[in-house]
Amino acid sequence: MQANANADSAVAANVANAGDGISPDSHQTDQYLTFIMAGEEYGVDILCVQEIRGWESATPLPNAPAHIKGVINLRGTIVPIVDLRQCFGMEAIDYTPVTVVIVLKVKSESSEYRVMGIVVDAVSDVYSLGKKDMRPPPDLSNAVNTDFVKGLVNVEDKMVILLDIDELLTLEDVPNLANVAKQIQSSVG
Amino acid sequence: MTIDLAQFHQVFYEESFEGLDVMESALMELDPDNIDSETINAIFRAAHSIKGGSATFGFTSVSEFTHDLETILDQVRAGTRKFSGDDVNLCLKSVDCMREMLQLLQGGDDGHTPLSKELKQQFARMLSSDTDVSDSQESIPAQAAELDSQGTTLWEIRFTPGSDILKTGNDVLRMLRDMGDLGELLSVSCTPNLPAFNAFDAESCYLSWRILLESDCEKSAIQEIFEWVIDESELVISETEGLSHWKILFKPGATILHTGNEPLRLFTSLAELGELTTTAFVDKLPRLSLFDCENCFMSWELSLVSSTATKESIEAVFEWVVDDAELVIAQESNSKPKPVSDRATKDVVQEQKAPQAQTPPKAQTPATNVAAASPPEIPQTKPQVAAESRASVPTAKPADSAPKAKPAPAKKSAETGSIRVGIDKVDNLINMVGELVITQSMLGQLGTDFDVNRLPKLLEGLSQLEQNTRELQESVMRIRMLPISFAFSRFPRMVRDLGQALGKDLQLEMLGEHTELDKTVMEKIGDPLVHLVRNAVDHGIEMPADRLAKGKPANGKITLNAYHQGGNVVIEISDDGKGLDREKIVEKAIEKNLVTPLECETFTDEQAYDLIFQPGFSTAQAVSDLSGRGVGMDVVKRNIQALNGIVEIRSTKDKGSTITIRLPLTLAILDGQLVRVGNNTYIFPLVSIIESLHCRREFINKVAGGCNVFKLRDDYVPIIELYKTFSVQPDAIDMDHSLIVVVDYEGGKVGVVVDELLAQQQVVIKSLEQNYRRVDGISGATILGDGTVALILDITGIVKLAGDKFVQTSARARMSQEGLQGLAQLAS
Repeated sequence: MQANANADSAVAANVANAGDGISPDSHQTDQYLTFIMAGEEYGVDILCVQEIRGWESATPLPNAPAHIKGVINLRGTIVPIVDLRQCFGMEAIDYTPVTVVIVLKVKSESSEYRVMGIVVDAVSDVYSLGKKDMRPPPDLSNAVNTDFVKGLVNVEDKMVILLDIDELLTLEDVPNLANVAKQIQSSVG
Repeated sequence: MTIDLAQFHQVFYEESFEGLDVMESALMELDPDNIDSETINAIFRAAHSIKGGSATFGFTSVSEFTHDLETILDQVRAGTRKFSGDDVNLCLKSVDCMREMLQLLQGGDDGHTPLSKELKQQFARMLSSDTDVSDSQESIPAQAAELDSQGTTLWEIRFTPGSDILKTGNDVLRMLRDMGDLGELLSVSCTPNLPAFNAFDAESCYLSWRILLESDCEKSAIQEIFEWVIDESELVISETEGLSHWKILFKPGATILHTGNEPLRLFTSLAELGELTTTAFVDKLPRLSLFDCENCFMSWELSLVSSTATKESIEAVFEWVVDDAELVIAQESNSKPKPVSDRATKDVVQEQKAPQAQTPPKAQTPATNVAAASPPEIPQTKPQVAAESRASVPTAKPADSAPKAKPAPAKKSAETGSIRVGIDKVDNLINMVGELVITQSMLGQLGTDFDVNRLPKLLEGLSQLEQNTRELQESVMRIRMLPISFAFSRFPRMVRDLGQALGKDLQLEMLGEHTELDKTVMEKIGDPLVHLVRNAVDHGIEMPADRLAKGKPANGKITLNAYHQGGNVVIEISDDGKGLDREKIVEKAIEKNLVTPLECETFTDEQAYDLIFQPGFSTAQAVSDLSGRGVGMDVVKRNIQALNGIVEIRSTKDKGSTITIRLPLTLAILDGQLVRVGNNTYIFPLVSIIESLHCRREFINKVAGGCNVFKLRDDYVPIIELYKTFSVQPDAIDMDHSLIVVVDYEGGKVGVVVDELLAQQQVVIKSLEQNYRRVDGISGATILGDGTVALILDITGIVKLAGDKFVQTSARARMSQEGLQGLAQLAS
């Protein structure tokens, strides 16, 4: 709940500086919740965010890939928890009581909601972004699967990688993407 | 106030579909040679309810259609019509047709189908030919004779409704009005049977009626009006013969009252002659200011029905006033022939009468006109062809079942509806909730002022709560359980129809119909079952001649069997047909590049039969010449697997095949045995556990360098080490401190090594697939008392997984001796 309140205040704070660095003529704006992982900032559509929780131990699933930390009981629903760091091939870090789990809720093809938790280093900010601000993900040919990258945005000279939650959730096994951010960064220049 | 009838539609549909099921099964039971009145009544009642309901909601297409069917059934019920096998077929077809019409209506259509028109025409023909039959026989000859000679009959109807008639929503006035539509109501008299005023109950009916009706209708038409109330009323309908009907127009002069004459007294004495109805005309009444109460301004039209009255006797009544009044006395009886009586043929009479008897009366549709005029074959065959062309499945299908395929979307929407639960189950639930509330209040009281001395009381309350919760849970689950006869009920009909269509002599045996199964499972198993039964009939059972040649009885036997086995429901579909032809299946599979010839050589029979479950195994033409069961078996398998079920085939050439479906009892709950492996808690379905025992190293042997077997008394049981299979850290690799849980695996035994046995409890199954995906060896998850998630083991999956691991391990071990760590990596 605390985390939720924080997110809300972050939204409020951001409404005030929504104009900063963002083209004013873009009427169509979406709000993105961003979080930090290994110094990189990633964003997800805020409408997909169900809640933000602290880390609690999950029940491991047998023979699951390393980035699937297991399942937790979220008020009666079994929710898988994915370590996004490991998912992206970054170095795993130890979980602490302040480790953040973002619970995402996405309407999948079968018209039922799928819920999934992602473990990230920290929640960062909420931005209002216009469609025009978004640049397509660079083509990294076959080196990296960028299907789940919706686009790139510059906010206050920082690059934010917007993730496509649908793709992220439906990826059966998220491929080993060593240093996705680094590669994108270097290719963008 | 207006009531939106649409809110009742769903209930109507549900009840109607149920009614149709009743009709169908009753028709199947019906033996045309020896008609059981109970059965025919059941069919009639169901049809009648559907008709009444559809008429109420204005679904005229259905009500008109059902009306004809009902007329025929009524005649059968009354014994005036012989019921032949063809008639049964026709009725069954009508059931299909009505089902389709209702489905169309549900989808917002008007409910007219080609089949319904065709059947209506057949009904019309049956009804018209029937008149001849009933004429030549007994039943109502007098009336029929009268129909011919004069056209009208004078009916006397004595109707004494039960006092509760108004409470049931019936309206006598409406019935009288309906009767007025049949002909001329000559006399309606209400005999007061009123109680004392203080005993009067406004909702009860104390009146009774004696009605005289002059009409050309049949007795049944009158009976029909009272159909809804007949059970609670006394009704006598008789034909009055020899009664004369007088019409008297009485227009007294203005001064008639001055002479001391009273019209009322005249009428009273007229009423002594017979049944009298009066109509007063007040059109001559002056304005109030000009009104003279000494003068008479009224005139009357009187209708007298009497057996004794003659013109003279009537004139005698008016003798004193005749000079001072205008009086016309005319005998009306039989003097106004209806147009019907002029018609020559009885067919036309019948045609006209059918719509007339309905409420509300409706003009004859052009379709029925055509039906009477045109030769029967033409309208009959056309829809038949249309129906056949719509059938997409290449197997021979009876034409009448083909239209079922079309309104599938409508059916789907109906399924999302409701569940009908026996009242006893609900009562039980209410009782239990009551007890739960009591326990809760007891615990609440304890909680408000608690001291340690009352701890035993608290514990007692808690155990009571546990008991209540468990019972409540069980009852709630039971609500969803239905006997499997719900899924089986369609098969007698289907097998019969298929048998007729294919010219095969079939016998269907159904066993274990009372086996209960979760409703959701039942809904999903229906279609696969239909498919399998259809296949058994179509491909399994040979033609009678072939069977005789093989020395088998001419009639093929299909057996449906359902029973509980462990935590599963097993459904078997067996036939005594020709069995599967392994050679042909393999041949076909190779031809379709599903397997290589090399692979096939090592196949067991079972593996070969399994090939027919391969997607793409069959195409339209492939099945007809193949002895196997081709069409869409992959779909069957997929559907069953989606229910966590297993499907197997056993077959012997020329002896028949058996397809076994193993399904979980319910998708929602199971009794579980909690076990611990390292830090992980897993749950075994309790039903699959045979025994648990301490592991003893000396009883363990290695077979073929890898797989461990445990000597269990005289048996050797293969052992699965769960920690290896799931790649988790156990307490100790040392077998001596472990436990072995011996579980049932497809009829055999398998030992699973765990660290500790924990509690047994009922667990609610939660899906992993909903948010994640299927995990091998795990059938689902549940939430334990402390809120953590525990995984439910899938025995079959574990065995398979262990087998795979074993293969991997041995392969791996040969290569690099990496052992368990390497295995874990391999798995991830």
